[in-house]
Amino acid sequence: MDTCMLGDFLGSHQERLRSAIATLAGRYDYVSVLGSDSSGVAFRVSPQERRVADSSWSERGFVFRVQQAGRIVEHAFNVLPSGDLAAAVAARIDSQLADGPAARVYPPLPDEPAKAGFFATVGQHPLTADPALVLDRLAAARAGLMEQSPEIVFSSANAEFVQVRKIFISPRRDLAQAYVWGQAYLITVAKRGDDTRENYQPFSGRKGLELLDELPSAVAALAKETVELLSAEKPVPGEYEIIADPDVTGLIAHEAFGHGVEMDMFVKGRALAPDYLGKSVASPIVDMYDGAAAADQCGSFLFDDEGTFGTTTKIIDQGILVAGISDLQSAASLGTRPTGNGRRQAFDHKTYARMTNTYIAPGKDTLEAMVASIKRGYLLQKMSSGMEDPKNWGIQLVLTIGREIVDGKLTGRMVSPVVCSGYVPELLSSISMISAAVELGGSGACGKGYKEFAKVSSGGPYIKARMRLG
Amino acid sequence: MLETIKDIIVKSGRASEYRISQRRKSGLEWYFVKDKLDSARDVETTLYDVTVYVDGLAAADGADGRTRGECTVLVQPGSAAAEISAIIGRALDTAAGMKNAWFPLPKPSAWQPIQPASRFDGLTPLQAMEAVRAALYRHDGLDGASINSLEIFLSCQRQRLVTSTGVDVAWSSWVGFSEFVVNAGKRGQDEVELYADLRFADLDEAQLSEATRRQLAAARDRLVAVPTPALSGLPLLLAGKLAADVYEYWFENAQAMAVYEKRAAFGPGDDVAAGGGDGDLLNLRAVPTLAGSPLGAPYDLTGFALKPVDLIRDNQVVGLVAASKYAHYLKLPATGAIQLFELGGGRTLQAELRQRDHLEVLTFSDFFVDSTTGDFGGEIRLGYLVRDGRRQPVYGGAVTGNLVENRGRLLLSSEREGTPMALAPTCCLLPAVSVTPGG
Repeated sequence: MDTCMLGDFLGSHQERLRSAIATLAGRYDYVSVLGSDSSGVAFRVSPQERRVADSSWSERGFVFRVQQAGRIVEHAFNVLPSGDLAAAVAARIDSQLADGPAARVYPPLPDEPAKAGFFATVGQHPLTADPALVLDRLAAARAGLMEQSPEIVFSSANAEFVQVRKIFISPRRDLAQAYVWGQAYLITVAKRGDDTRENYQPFSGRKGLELLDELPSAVAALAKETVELLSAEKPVPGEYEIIADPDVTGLIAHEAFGHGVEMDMFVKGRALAPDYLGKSVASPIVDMYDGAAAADQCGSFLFDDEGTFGTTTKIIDQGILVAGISDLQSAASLGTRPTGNGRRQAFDHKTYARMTNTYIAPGKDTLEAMVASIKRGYLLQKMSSGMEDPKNWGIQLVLTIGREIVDGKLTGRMVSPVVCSGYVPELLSSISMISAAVELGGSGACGKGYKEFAKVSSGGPYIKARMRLG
Repeated sequence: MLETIKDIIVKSGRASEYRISQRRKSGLEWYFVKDKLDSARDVETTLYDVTVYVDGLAAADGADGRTRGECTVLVQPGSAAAEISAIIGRALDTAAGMKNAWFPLPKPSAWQPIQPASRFDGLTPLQAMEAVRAALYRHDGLDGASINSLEIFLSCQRQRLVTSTGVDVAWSSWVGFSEFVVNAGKRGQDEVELYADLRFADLDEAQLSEATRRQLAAARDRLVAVPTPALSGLPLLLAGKLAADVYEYWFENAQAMAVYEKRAAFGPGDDVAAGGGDGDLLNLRAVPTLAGSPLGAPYDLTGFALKPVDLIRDNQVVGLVAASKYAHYLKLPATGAIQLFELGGGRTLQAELRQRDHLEVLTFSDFFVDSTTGDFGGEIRLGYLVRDGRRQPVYGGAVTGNLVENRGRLLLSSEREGTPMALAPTCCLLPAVSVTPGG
């Protein structure tokens, strides 16, 4: 086991940043700085080619945040000025406060005292490993895929590991954290005549190279599934009983309700959720959570990008909407306690209220009982994309696989792709069975609209519900 | 800094070739709720991407026995020389361990690409932001529809690229982006919202204000929309960026990398209509830059000076977008990695296409086009059902289809318009789609 460290760069600048914060605290109502020095590496093995590059999640820089007379402005940069840091930051902040359009005024941002550090351990540290050995392991998995069927015409094996290192300093808070997350994908393309089908298997976690141990056992099933997709038909549009696998359950939780309870959307009047707090929004067997402290997955951390400790938020309690998730600014505006969900894509991006680890809690049913209970429907697997609509509570999920169920049995027939649409409360209220085991996945990224990508995880158990498929 | 990186690579004596990219960004960001500034940010960053190439010999991979490994790393500004040496050393070790087939890097070109001019040139950042803000808010309140929230990002980005083959080029561009959400109706009763975003590189105030005006008008239509009914046999009409997303399927499949990896739907010499259909002929051309688009560049990442290249002529594939590596692997002419495209117009005026019975979708929840499978679709946030000369706004339900099934049957408007990705027919009609009713 290796322990993740803060590193020389942030360590060497901490005192200078503390000094600048102390100076600026006398000038502004609120001031803080987030420093990031995250580095990562991405590997790809494709036909006749191997690639290694630094991860696009790598970042190093600082963002100073100031509140003055209720206004909030930031200055982000990645070259520390050589002279008086506080004066250089103040010049950029003051020019923004002096100019520009009429601004909203926010209640004071909180700055409660705290001093803490979190330095995670990792099985095999990915940034000190020999890249050639990583590529060899990916190449073996890829070769295994190609051996499974002549109809598989392309495959690639990809892995990415990032060591996140951050510090947060304000007049009363001094925090540091370092941890690693990893993700990997096996990707396949199969062709038969004009028909081309694509499939993938994701892997993720707060893991180092030990994540790659999971690849070999997935190869045969992925190849078989990809070839099966060549025989898939298009779904006949209509409403069906469905079983969502844990990945798809997570996508439902994330898109159907996760985005809808991001409380910066409340501030903008962009969400229906505030009107439903304390009211039923789902079947009474549904509990839903989000939180950096709620699970150990890619959305876990000690503190968010505003220096708020990660928490566990129960969003839905027995079908009743009980809470949202917030950043500092939305919590200040709404008069609620921040939940540790203020996150940035990187130091040079804005903070928004964002999800972390989002999931539906386990129930008591079995997958077998769910399948047996369905007259005609589908087992939905392999999420492709999803989109929220917090104002109108519409939902779109695009999935790669729907496995047909008729008279309580899987028929072996498949439909693809599957576009699921519907009205969120109807979907969540239709959940009638929930299985016992929860699985979370954290590959990919979550966007706010079509930008501001954040590392999150989502998941849950198998759930049975009704959805419109097309 | 760039010179320091270069010196460290050269002095290592281990790099067969190298490429250093320096990107400086200076930008302002304004975030509005209603018409009030919610928060503001300024961003100043400099980034260095460094790729080192290490050649070797191998029995199998290289056509002539030569191999080339490459590794790309980020070098952060302000890094000490020792840290840069360690990063470069790691990159060289990694590149030396890879034995991909050898390929050449571009050499300096006599061709001098021209970057489109921008009306942001000469303005201060504050003047530029204020001009964008004023244009976007010009129609706020139109017929009772209003802007709920709006974000503006505007930056000037300067890029310099230096390679071991003698390329040393620099260019700058304006990169603008706005995301806006509009509402119509009364909160707590029938209020609806629509989302849109916009990329721009030029201060075209008419285009900026038209983007929000269209969305405000659409929000009013969404208020009176009815659930999408069950439909069969009606073609789908897509316009603007959604149409460009469809056209991009052919552009993505005309990439040498996709052909090399055997993922492409067609290859050089193929008929993209497979001989059938009564649709318009496709004439596709890759272009490095488009007026008003922030997505293009005069050079690719390896320093290749980019020129327009014909890809599909009257449905026949006549060329591929081929960066030096894949051009060498496939024995094709290198074009550089061109990012944008032009598609020729069709035989029918837009007005004539719009007169036919059809379903037009103006806004999807999240429109997707899979460039590998050809699948496309999405949930309908706002559409228009045009039947028997009547136009009814609709919402809900979904559209799905496959572009292989629409092969040779696509009808294109003769008029073209610019989007950030393409200059292409303003709208298109796709005959083979499936509609899931809403409500």
